Amino acid sequence: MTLPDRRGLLVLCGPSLLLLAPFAFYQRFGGLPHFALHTLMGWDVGLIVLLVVALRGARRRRWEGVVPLALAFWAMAPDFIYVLGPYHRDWMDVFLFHVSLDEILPYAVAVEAIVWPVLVGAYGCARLREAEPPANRA
Amino acid sequence: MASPPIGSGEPWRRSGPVPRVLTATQRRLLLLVVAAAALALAATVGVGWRLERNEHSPLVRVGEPAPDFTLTASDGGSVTLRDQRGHPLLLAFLPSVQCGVCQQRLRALREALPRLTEQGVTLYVISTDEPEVQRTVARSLHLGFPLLAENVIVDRHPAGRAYGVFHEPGAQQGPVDAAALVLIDAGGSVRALDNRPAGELSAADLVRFVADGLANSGAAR
Repeated sequence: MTLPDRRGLLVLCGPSLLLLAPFAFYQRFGGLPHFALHTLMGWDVGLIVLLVVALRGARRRRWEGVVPLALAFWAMAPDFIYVLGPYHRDWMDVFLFHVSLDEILPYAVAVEAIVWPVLVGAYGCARLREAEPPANRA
Repeated sequence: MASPPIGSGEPWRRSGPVPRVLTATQRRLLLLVVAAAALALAATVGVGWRLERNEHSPLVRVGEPAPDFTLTASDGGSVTLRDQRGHPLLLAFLPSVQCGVCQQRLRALREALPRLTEQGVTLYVISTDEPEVQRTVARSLHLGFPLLAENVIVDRHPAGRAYGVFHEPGAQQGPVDAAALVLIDAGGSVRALDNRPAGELSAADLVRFVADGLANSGAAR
């Protein structure tokens, strides 16, 4: 299996370097498992969206890496609210099922961590073929 | 200007119609992967969703024997309730030691501690946090009482469930215990209970709650 081209990986992963800021935030509060939980959920949902878009025939865009990053921040939002004072509430499941996932944190992280490389691989396969010279295609 | 050829290494710069580069079999295979991933995530969310909404036990009542529990303490040891008989206990349940309102209550408890000690009351705070996190907060707030950690992974909320403050109906706050005060007398019975939603609570309120509970037979508020 071939890996996606380096520039493609940079486009996908580069924006997520911004997640270092919330990483430090969670580390300060001893919440790294929560960081993994919500970041992976954002990334997994983002990759599913990008894959569906890719499989529908849309070409790769420069801003694709912003999708998993934005969804990761969206999934984390209740934790930022929490530190300000308000507790988690059921309605906060609108943030990519934040509350329901917190409920089963260790199991949810395990599932998300298994799904993530599968989706990255699938995304790579879908986009790699777009980048390959015509002669190399099946 | 002519578009660069496909495979120029910068496919996002191309213009014109989108090339169909995947064979039908490859597309089907990738769709299957996407569907399986989405299904796995949906199933995980579903399990959490169901637990969140269906798992609760009745609130402990005044006059009942206080349910026993053993929890890890922030000082590294463990605390078993039945070993604490012989003196009154105040259990202060908190969703976390990190949220703003919780820390306000921790400060109020710290302020009330000398008065509680005068009354012979031992104070334990129970929260849904790792002991390490509790230690950090205890140090930063200069708390002089032990914090007990609910085990949320193996035995989910043993104390919160036993007292009915985990997933308390009407006080859903996510996978954490609701804020509650439980006063237990020297004989191990619940003497007073305060399970109002967490809000501003002063040291004077706490001292009054304990004094009233020990003086009277106690009544749920």
